[in-house]
Amino acid sequence: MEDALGHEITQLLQAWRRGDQGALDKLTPQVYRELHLAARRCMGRERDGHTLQTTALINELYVRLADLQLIDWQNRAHFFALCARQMRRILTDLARARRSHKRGEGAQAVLLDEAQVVSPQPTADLVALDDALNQLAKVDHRKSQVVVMRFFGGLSVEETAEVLKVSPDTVARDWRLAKAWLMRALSENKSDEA
Amino acid sequence: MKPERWSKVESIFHKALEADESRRGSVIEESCAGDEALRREVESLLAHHRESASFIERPAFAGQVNTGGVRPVTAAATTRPDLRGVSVGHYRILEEIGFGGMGVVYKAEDSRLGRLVALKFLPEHMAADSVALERFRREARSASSLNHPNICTIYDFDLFEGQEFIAMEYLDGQTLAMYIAGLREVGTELVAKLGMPIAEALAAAHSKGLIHRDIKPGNIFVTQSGLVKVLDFGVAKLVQGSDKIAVTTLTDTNAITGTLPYMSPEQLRGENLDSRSDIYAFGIVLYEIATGQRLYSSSLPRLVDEILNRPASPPSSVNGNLSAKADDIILKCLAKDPEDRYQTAKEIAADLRHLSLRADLLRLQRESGTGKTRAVAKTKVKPANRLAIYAALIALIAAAALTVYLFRSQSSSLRVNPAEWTPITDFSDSVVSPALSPDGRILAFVRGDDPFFGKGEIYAKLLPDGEPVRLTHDGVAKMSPHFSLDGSRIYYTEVSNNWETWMVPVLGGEPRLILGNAEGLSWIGEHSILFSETKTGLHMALETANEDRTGVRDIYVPPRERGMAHRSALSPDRKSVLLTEMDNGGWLPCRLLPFDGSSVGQRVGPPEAECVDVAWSPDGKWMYFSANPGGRFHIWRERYPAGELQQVTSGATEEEGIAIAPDGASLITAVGTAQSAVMLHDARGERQISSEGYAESATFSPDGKKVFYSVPERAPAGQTVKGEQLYRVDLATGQSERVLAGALITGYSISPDGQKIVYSSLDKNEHSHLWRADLDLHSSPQQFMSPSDEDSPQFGADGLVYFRAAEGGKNFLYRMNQDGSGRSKMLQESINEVSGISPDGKWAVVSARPAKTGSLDFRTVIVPLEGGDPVTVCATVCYAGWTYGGNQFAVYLIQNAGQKTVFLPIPPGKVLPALPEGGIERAKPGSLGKGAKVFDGVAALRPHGGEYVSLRDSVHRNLYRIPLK
Repeated sequence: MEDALGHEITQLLQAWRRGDQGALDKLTPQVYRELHLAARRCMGRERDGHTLQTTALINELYVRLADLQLIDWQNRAHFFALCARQMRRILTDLARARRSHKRGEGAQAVLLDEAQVVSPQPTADLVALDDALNQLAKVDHRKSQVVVMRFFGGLSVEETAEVLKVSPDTVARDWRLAKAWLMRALSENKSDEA
Repeated sequence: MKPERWSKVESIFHKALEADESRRGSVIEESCAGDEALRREVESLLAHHRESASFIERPAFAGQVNTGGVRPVTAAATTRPDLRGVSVGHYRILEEIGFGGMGVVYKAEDSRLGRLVALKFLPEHMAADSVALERFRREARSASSLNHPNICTIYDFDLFEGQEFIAMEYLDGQTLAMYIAGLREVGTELVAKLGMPIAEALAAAHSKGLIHRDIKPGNIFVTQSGLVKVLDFGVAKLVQGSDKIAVTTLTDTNAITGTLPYMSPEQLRGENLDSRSDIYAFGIVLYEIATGQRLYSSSLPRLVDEILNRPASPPSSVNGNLSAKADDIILKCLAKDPEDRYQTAKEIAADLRHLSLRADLLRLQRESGTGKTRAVAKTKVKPANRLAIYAALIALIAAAALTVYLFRSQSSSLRVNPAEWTPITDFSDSVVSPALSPDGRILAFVRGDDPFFGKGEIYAKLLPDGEPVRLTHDGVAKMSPHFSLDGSRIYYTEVSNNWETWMVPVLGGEPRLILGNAEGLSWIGEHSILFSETKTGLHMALETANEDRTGVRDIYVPPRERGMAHRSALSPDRKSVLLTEMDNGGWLPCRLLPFDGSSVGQRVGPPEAECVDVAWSPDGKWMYFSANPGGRFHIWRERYPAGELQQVTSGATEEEGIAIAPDGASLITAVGTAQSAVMLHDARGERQISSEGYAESATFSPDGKKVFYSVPERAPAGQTVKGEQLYRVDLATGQSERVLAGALITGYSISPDGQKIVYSSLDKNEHSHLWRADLDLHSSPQQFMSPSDEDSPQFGADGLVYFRAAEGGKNFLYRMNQDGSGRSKMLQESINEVSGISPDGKWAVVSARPAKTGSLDFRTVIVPLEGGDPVTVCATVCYAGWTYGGNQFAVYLIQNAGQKTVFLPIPPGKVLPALPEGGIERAKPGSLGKGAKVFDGVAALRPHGGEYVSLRDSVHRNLYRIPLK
């Protein structure tokens, strides 16, 4: 069954390459489904650290979906951008689900670190970040997109620029300001709760 | 905040950052020109900018490559005990000197020989894996036989309080990774001098048949005295588990960060490795010494692509100090095809030695001013066969496709007619996982909708007519109920944080935790059990033990670290076990193996299919499976020990779970049906008008008397659905008929007079073409000839045909007469989709990327075909258009909350509906204006009437008894 789906995705990628922009939109639910299934499969079966494994599966899906020879790099960047948006949904949903699951044992925020694989960095609540991103989107849609691509999709500055059709310089500036903005939004929320 | 104000904030923010720290205050002061609020906003952002340096810099999925050689802290490492000062045999531990994925390393003193040693303790999760451990010991023994100045010597191998450790040569110095980071100017000579000992170490190991498999700067040591030593021979294999490691490594996040950039293309593809894979990794190391940077440093998805396909660039393009010969050596190591590389490390050592001499000569030349050589960029890398690589990668990851098994004998069919199935449960939701008591009188099952495991409760039902009784109430996911031998207790697996076996008495009572870390437990004797146990992470093995879990014995340990042995069944003769198995999250075909664990057995049941349930006939002559060759799960059976494979159930349903009656005359399974029905909603209420099981794309005929809908053609597994059959149902008689006999369509539109249809269909090369046909004349359809791909046909009210055509990689809106003449491009801008044409033919609903904003996102707009400004329908992609007669405008959109269809009335005398500014998604409930209707899901309104049709989809599972002949 997975094969069939993989095949379908390949077909859509090919259709996309032929110029059928609609195929990109048809890809979205497929990508979501694949990512989500992978995440769900893992959730129940891993003894510990399942977030790590989920992330790993998503990586794997990237490798598999980003099949790579079929589309040129420009399109590929767009495809990753699409994955980035889906990953935001999934990771945030997972975090939300986990948070509600844990409620009662001392409502524990899901830290960004838990969605990450290596070395710690300043922590923030993934759910709160998602909310803050929604706020940012209202103020400046493009900056929120930059964050989605860079943080959830792992796109480089150049790739993000390619997707958003702006210069890498603009992306770098957007990124800088967006981070400061989000940092502030998150710290404000934290003090609200306190 | 208003956009103008925000852009002011933005520009001052960047201006301030670009200014000198000292001038920053005055820059802000000037730019804000007394606007205090503005100044506060900018300063607050600047303050948070300082804190945000590393904030969200690492992507959420962490595809970035870690640069360090030391692996991240694992759970095992963080909980390690402090062993300082402890005596481990005749070693006295002095201090901890490192830890990582391969364990903790201590500096220790060998009190007998009075020398310093390094003790490496294996991480617990690896030491717990007996198969891997045995392999590790074997490898360590051979590695310890290596006596080479450039290989870190292994002295000893022992146990301390149940923990495995290795005693080895103590090295004082740093890893090559750190050494490289400290280098400033690197020339050919240094590359050669650092590379030579590594090449010699590899040559020595390879000559004994040992492959390192994990050569990287973090595994190479440079001592204080400048000796180069390769570490961890034989250890790599333990970590990787087997030769075919790509899947494991790609999914093992720790491994990705450290190892992936050094993996050879064949390693990534999961092929068998030989010494040439080490040579490739060595090439990467040489490249890093030469240039100070990674050859491939992209984030993950691109990284794989690059390793497989991107030829290495010559190191001299980064470091101009390098000679052309250095380029040649390094690039030859890095050839994608092992055949094109150096075949032995010995050859590299020889070339490096020459290089070192040459470098000396060149330096002399340079110093005497006789001329400077400049490396010439050239590459000899053969482009890889992309298709083959792609295929290999897919095959790797879709683990089920890894192995091909042939039918051992002719397949035949038992195929019990569904008319003979007897329903046992009739829940409006779903029930799964049937189990029968040994006397066959009590049925246990899980009420829930996930046939593997999902939230649900255990029920018991006295057969044949007892009311189902609910036994559990905790809302936790459950699976695999089994009865005790006396039939008084039900054992089942709960899945919350862990796999746990619980028990509830059949007559009711408090459920009790029986065993932690035990899945799919069944009783195979008065005091013995069969179950699965997690070894580490995802690695789950099949075990047998006494009821108190003493005397545990491995029956089957999946060979790979992501392998899981799940549900199992012991044969009545107690010699064999049937097993369902997963690898890397996907189901494999089932396995038949000896109960004594003497071999890993063989695959049984339908080949190349996912197998999710197993059972034995009571006489032990048949093995039963639930598996999905062909795409749907059905019940299959096969003669034991070898013989005929038969299909037991078939059809449009899916059967999962198997409980065989003690007399062997029937089995109970959960039968699942996925349906999508066209529902008509009229004054009489709601009723189903399609009967094909799965229907889509419903729409009324222009006169409102008929409804068209399409039914996807089921494709064999692994193939894309090629199209749909079109049906038409007469609402007066309820009769439905196929409209375009045999044609598989991908889109259609009915002419306003209801006489004709245009549709799109894929040819055998998957190019899309348009066709037209008369609906009732039964003449054969005719194709509109065109060299380009065309689809999404729409009849305009004027009878003209609008459609979308691909042109130069983009889609455009076109129009033509019904005979195909007069083709013309209607919009110069490219579009994404076209979904509606206004009755006056002057407007089209298209989704497109707004040209001006540069945004990537599609918007759906009503665009005037004769020029002018478009009107936004949706801020995203949606489908919209006018109903027949043009008095309603329908919008179909998918939102997070689900699918919706919105109908907006068209005011008399107007063509366009009133739409909320910025798109229909922004409309608040109730703000769409009078006469607007909103439906969940896909709906179509009857022309000139209040009736509508909608699609209703559902999956139900209930238990049925299926007779066995």
